[in-house]
Amino acid sequence: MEVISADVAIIGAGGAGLRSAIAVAEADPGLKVALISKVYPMRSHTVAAEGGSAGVVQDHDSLDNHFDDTVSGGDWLCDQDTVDYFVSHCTREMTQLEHWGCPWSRKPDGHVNVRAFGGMKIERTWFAADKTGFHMLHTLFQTSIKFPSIQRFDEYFALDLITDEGRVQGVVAMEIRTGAVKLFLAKSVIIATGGAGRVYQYNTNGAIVTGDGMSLAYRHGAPLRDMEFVQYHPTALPRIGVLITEGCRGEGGILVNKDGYRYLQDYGLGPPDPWPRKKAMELGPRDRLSQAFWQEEQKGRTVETPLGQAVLLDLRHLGEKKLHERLPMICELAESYMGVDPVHEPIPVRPTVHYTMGGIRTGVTTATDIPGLYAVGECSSCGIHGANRLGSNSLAELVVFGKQAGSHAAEYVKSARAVNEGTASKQAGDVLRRVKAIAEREKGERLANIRNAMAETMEAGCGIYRTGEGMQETCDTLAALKERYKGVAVGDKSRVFNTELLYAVELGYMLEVAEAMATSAVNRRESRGSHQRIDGYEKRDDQDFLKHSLAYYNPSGAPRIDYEAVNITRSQPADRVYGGEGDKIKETANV
Amino acid sequence: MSEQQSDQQTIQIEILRYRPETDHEPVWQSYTVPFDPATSVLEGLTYIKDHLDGSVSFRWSCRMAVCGSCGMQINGEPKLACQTFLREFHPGKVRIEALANFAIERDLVVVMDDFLEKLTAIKPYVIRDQDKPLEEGEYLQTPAEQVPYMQYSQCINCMLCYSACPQYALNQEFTGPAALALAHRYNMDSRDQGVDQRMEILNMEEGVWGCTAVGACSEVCPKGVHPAAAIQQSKILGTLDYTKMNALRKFILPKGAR
Amino acid sequence: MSEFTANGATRKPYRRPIKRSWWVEKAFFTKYMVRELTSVFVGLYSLILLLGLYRLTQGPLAFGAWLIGISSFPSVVLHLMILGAALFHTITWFNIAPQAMPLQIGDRKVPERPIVIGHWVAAAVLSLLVLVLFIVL
Repeated sequence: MEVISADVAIIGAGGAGLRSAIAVAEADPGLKVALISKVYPMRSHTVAAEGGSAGVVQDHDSLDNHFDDTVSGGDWLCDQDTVDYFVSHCTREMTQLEHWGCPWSRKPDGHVNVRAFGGMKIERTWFAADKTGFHMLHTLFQTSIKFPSIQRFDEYFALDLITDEGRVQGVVAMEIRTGAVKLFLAKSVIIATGGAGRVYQYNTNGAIVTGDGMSLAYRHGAPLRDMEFVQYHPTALPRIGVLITEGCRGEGGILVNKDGYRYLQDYGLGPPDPWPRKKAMELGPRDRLSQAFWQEEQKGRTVETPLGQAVLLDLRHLGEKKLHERLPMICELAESYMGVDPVHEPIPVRPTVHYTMGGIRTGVTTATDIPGLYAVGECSSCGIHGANRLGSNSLAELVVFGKQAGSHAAEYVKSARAVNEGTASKQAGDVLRRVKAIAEREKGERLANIRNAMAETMEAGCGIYRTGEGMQETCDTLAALKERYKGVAVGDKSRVFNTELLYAVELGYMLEVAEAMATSAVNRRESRGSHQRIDGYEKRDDQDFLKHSLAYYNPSGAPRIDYEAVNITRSQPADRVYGGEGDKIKETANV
Repeated sequence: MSEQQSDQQTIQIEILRYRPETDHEPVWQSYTVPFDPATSVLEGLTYIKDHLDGSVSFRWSCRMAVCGSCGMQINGEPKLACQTFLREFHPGKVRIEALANFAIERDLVVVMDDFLEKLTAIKPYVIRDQDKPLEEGEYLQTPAEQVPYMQYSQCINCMLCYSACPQYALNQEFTGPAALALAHRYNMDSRDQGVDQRMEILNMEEGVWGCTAVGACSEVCPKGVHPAAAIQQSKILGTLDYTKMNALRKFILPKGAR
Repeated sequence: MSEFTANGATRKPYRRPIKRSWWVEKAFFTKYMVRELTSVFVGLYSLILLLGLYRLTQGPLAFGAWLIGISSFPSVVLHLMILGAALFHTITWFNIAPQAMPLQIGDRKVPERPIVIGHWVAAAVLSLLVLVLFIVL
């Protein structure tokens, strides 16, 4: 088996992975970085993010405001020391991106422009038209080319971590185009593999968002934290799941039901006018908006479309000029996929799984429970999102904590002992055997059947509103699916670019992550943020559940669930208040 | 793909298969796929892979025409599979093959190494003599200053332009539309000072001078990047450089960042 | 299929041959080739004019003979073809021109159409000028 030596191995070359790689290269150009990604970097799902990235810039804004918005947005499940670190570094990191060429949208005077976003009291979302993730990713990828110490391994699929003596020692990955399995030796590994939205039937995510890194760390003993918190983005195209950015609502878009009524005012987010207004109505937090949709659907007030139930996102009053300037991609998407021109017609939208708040437990340094192993981005739970993420905090997270991960991994490498190649090779051999077993299995179950069953049960039992019975059924179904998975077979027996085999491995990752999500969910007997129950646990219970859930891998069954305290410093849990008077958004602030 | 209705429409999809371990050359294979008005070619392909033939390999991810993975020849035209709809071809057949002008690795997957090399070679990053400290904030750049380069920053690296370009078809040394457009994107960014460093690769025979303004690249670009325009503009910059008339460049190039 | 080892398989990327008829099969490319072909006609016209210039240096008799020569029926037919080619070249050239000269007013890009029209206006004005000079002189 080919052995590749590196100082830091990074799995995932999206926004977080690339930022980490650059951070290692800048910290110490003498360190070899192996940047391993199952897709070419510009395909990473960061590219699909639209709305923006948060960072305090306005004189009348403050870090405390960003802190308060984030902590209350997260329903007080955020680790406040980490949130403090986060908000105080966002602006610097985004300025760094600007220096690297990111084409942020500007005010007439040439300064970076900011717009209003859901759950934020004051405008602080930097944006690059409605393709912020695209521009951030391409800026990071193109900048990473400057650093010779970053060696990319494009289209290498991570099959496992190597851990020994209680620390990480490397990664085993398959070169997709030859099927060759290779061992990467590294004293430090950074996991930046993204979220796991593809475990659900309807999601805004790309094919690659399958929780790979989460599952790898989990299997090696790192707990997955707060997995029950899955965000439904309120506005995505029905069935297709293509994301329609929150930025539409930041520019003044409204949501109406089949009677043309702005229904959000019935759910504690009103009054409807004046509009636009921060933290009110359509600019409330995502969990509340998605929950409102579910309620409207129950009442029969949603719109019937050929692609399912929806509500209408009306942007017509924004006018053609503003739509084409600020939201050009949305106009293209609506036209392309729905045949709707937002200048003349409202866009049918519905809540769709979008983001995984939970992930590998880390903290402000991005270190996981396993020495030498770091996790950053959507695959991690560093403590800033809590029970519900605010829009535009995720892109900022990539660069703030990407820098942390790279810096800390580089530091760790300096004093870490050499890796044990003998043990690593042996473990790599075991990995090869496991993959071989799937690859060579003659007859077995079809992948898609198991995957679709998983997606359906997650949608049914772990959706916007949950019951103990529904969640338990999902847990049981997942356990049965894991059994069926042991007999999964792939028809494609080739080695060159065998994507069916990769999908089979990804399904294994997804089943583990889904089980962690469902088990954590059924055990949280309260409602908080995006985890809402309608079976007697409708209220938030700060007495018993103001704590993070931790799912620990159990090779013979469902994960063991434990809990840990939330780090609360200065913001005590209070009611989440949206709507009310708020501040009207001045038109001139966002020219 | 949702469950079929009773009068489910179907369409024939033909895919040019190639499995290097067993095939001497590519061969067409046909599949019958159900569809409705909203079904994209990509969804047709995932249906085939999930239910009919798991061995068809293709790249895809975002499903919303921003990741650039799913470029392929669909009925002879380079297109993004996620943005092309089966309804457009019905009742005719849909013939899908790997992106033209690239070697086929496997089925609909092409070898992208050459493209990545060229993208890298044009120095696609901000080059400055001195970077100001982050504490001093952002470089000022007015909306007017963004106009000269913004269009060329929209490239999703889908390579449809390389598939359409007859110069690239005939000569693989040609740097190609996307790479040249990206170089121009940086040359025209007021924060960049690297035009001289990119000039050598631009002014080569295989650089902008390999382009004869066919314009097919801009025709097929799904993002309106208009690489042809970037290249023609680069030819003027290149000419001024070659004839040592760089003083005239100030009429074209943006001011350095303030 | 051989055994699943760590080494994987050998790649064998396949290059599809380019058909020589690549430019015949797509109207867009055929139009491009015709455009390129117009250069032959333009080149031919330059040679004819050069010849005329040379004959002029040889005196009125030689120049007169050249004039008679280009007034012949086959020559007129050729000149009509050259005119057609030159016009096609002009149309396609003007259509591409805006790409090389991006104009901007404030923070709005000037669209390509007005620039193309501007070229035609300028061409018309210049042609008129030449015609007037020709008549006057």
